[in-house]
Formats: sequence, C-alpha cells, structure tokens
Amino acid sequence: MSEWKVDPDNRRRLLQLQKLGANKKCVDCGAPNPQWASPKFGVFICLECAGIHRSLGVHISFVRSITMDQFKPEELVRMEKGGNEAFEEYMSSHNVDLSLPHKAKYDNPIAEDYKRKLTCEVTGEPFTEAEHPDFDPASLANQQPEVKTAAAGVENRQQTPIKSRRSATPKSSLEQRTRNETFFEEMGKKNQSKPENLPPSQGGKYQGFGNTPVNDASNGNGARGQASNTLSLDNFQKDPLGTFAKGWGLFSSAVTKSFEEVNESVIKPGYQQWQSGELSEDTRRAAAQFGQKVQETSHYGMQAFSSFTKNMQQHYMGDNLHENSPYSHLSQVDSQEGLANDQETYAAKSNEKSKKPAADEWDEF
Amino acid sequence: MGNSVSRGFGKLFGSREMKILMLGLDNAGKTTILYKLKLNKIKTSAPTVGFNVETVARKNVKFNMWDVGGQERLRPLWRHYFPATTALIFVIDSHDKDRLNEAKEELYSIISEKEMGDVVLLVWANKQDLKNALTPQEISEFLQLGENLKNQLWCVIGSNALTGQGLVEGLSWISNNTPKK
Repeated sequence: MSEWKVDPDNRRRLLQLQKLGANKKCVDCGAPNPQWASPKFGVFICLECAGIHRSLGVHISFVRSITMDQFKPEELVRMEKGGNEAFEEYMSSHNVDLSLPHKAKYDNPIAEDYKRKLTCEVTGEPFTEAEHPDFDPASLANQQPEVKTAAAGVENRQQTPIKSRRSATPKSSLEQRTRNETFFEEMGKKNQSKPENLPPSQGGKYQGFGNTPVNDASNGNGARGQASNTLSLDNFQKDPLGTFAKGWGLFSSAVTKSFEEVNESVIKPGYQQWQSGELSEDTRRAAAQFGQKVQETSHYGMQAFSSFTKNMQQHYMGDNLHENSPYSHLSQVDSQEGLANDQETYAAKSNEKSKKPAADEWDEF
Repeated sequence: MGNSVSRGFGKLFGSREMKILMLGLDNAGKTTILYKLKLNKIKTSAPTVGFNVETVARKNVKFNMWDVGGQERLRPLWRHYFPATTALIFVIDSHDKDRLNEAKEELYSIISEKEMGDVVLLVWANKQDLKNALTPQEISEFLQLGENLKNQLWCVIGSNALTGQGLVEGLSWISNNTPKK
C-alpha cells in the first residue's frame, strides 16, 4: 500500500515491446493495443481476455497489467524472449489450434512445454522437448469444459459476448433477492452438516478461524453458524435477547412494508387527483393570487425602502445646504436626551456627525 | 415521507446499514464474490480498474460493499476508501502461494493505519475449490493475526466464490460481531 514505484527503465522497455509486430494485438482475440500480459507465456492480452486468463488459476496463467503492475526482472525477460509471435509459432508448429477456447489452449502439455521453454531461455539452460505419446492436440477441440460442481456459470462466462458483459449492473428484483437469500440459506444449511475435520477443498466444512465469536455455540448462531430466522419457544429459552431482536426485526420489516403500501395506495393517488381534478382549478387560482400578493407586497416594500433612503439622502444633503434648519430638530432630539446645553458647540458636533454617515452611505452605494 | 419514517423504524427495530471495504491482491476474487452475493451469478472477472460498489441485504442488515481493484498501482489509493468503514474484508487467493507473503504485507499495512484501528477484520481464504489450495487454517496460521492483533476482532473463513460457499458465514460473522446501533 506504500507509494507506487516503478522502474522507469522497465516500464519503457515493456511499452516498447508492446509496440512490436504481433504484440500490437491481443494474442487471443486480436483486439488492438493490449494493456495486459501473461508473463508465464510471454504474451500480451486485452482486458477481457485478461479476465479469462485470471479465471484459469495462477498455476496456468498469471496476469499482470503493463501500466498498473511492477514486472519482476525475470518476468520482463520472459516477455522479451517470448512475445505473441513466438507463442503462436510454437503452438501452431505443435498442431494446437490457436482459435481454441482459453482453457483448452493454455491448459495442455504443449502449453506447459512452452512455459518450460521460456524458463530455460531465461536461465540459459538447454531446453529438451518432452514427449507426449498419449497426447493428441486434435483432442483439445473436443475437450468438454471442465464442469465444476455448481459452477456452471464459469463456462457461460466465456461464451457471453463482450457487449453484454460490459453492460451496467443488472438491477435485481425483489423476487431475485428472495431467491438469492434462499439459495445462500440452503448453502449454509448444507455447510452445517459437513465434517469439521476436513479442509473445504476436500468436502469439509467452511468455518472460521479467529478470535471470540460473539454468540455462543449452543444455539448454533455466531461465527460458524446460521442464525435461524424463526421465533420459537426453544430459541427464546436459549437466547431470550437474541430472539427478541429477531422478533423486532420481523416486525420492523412488516412496518416498513405497510408504510410502502400506504404510500402506494393512499398518498400517490391523492396526489394524482389533486393534480388533475377540478380541485386544481381553484388551487391554481389561489396560488396565482398568492403569488400576486407576494409580488405586490414586495413591490410596496421596495418602494417604501427606496423612498426612505431618498428621504435620508435629502435630509443629509439638506443638512449641508441649509445649516440652520435641521439643527433645531437635531438639537431637540439631543436635548431630550439631556446631552447638550450649548447650542453653538452642539451644532458643530452634530454637523460632523451627520456628514459622516452620509459619506459612508455613498461609499456603499 | 413514508420512506424516512420507515427508516426511523428500521433504526429502532434493529435493521442496520454498514460500509464494508473489500480489499486484497489482484486476482483474489473480490469482484467475483461481490457479484455472487449480489446477483448469485458469476460475472466476468475482467480486472477491476477502479472500484465496484453494491448493496447486499441479508436478513435486516444492509451491507454497502466496496470492492476496490488490487493492481499494484491501485493499492496506494485504498486508503481513500477507509473513512467510515465498519468492517474490512481481505480476500486472499489460497492457491497463489507465491504471493501469500505479499498479501500478508498488504494486510498489515492496511490495519496499521489509524483509521482502520477499530474495524472488524474478516479474511476470506478464497478459491477453496482448487485442489492444492491452502486451508483456511493454514492461511490463518500464516497470517499470525492472533499474535499481532490485540484489540481487533478478526476471523479467517474459507470461501468459494464460484459456488458461494463460505460467503454467508462471513457476512453473518460480520453482523454478529459489529455493534448494534
């Protein structure tokens, strides 16, 4: 997770390599400008084919990005010694059809040999071709895709056209969701009955190794188990709190659902009626009137405000022009407050006072 | 409005929502797991350039699952997804023994970050269907989480994204081991 560092020299070599001859196209599908590579075979591939290579497992093909991964020195040499053309030549000369599906093309003794050949070229050891008396490349074409238990999707994936693969995530319906839930529920139940002492790859139980599972083992919940989703007396006695929580969960989902129903059956139709019915004629008029009122009021407010400011301006201007008249008014105000006695000095003061804000206001405008 | 009220009720009655961050080396199976859980289908596993995010609902818990690409150049970006994470899922390719150590290093560098100090950690030892895959127990021993994590809840569970085995067990463990708000 630290800073991503890449040797600029390696990167340059790799990018140059990708521009040479057959490397310009994906070795599997011919898509231009492949950005991914399988250093085990020394071939350049496109993003889609990289996905398929990855699904073969790292023992067969190991995928690296030429822009987002750091190649190890020996991986880089493999790419240099190999390349798309060398791979195609070797496979064709051993009668392996290059248009075969990925699994057949890369998981066979010839492809194994080619990987060994590249390794020998990197280390400088002599390469001796192994004999495969039992292997007939022609049989690859008839090879049925390996069917893994319940993994039928794997083969489908290879036949899905690229366009549909690239489509956005399909929305799962509620029905689909319940189906998924039951699927995983059953999967969990099956898992419960598996032997614990065997690893999962040999038919054992999928279980956790870690610290402190919160729920105790007695009621079968917790790290390893499946929470049973029923309210029963038995559960209640074993784990009263847990059962209550489950009960609330069920209740809350019911409440949620009923709210949705209310929304669908009452609120929405009402709204639609309001939009279309005769009622709306009146409402619209009322709304229009209201809007007008608002406009009028604001207009009035604006006028009042502007007349007020005009008055103020005139007032201040007048202040300066007719020195005598306003003073009396101001001095009245001030004498009311009991601040000034001497009219002369006061007049000078108030004159200053009144000038100042006027200047400020002008600045603002 | 009904929506917000029902959400309020949901909070009262124990339905929860949490952010889950799913990380791991490239080709560990993160995206495959995500879409197996979401759609119960095996989607193409073209390398993730960027991230995927999906909401998976199990029982009354909503898991907002973030699956971020694992290519070397993308790993420095992982930390930008850390904030507000409830649980970290680290996916390991149990068959890729050569890179197990790399995976371990990445895992420790994630959980040593301050922001990830109090998340619960689930490790999926994926690809258990392959014959020579390491068992979850072997992975668990190799990672030495017991010795190194004192204050954090952790769990290693074997999984097989193609069939979906082990996935529910993992999510159940997470919901059982996170505080009910």
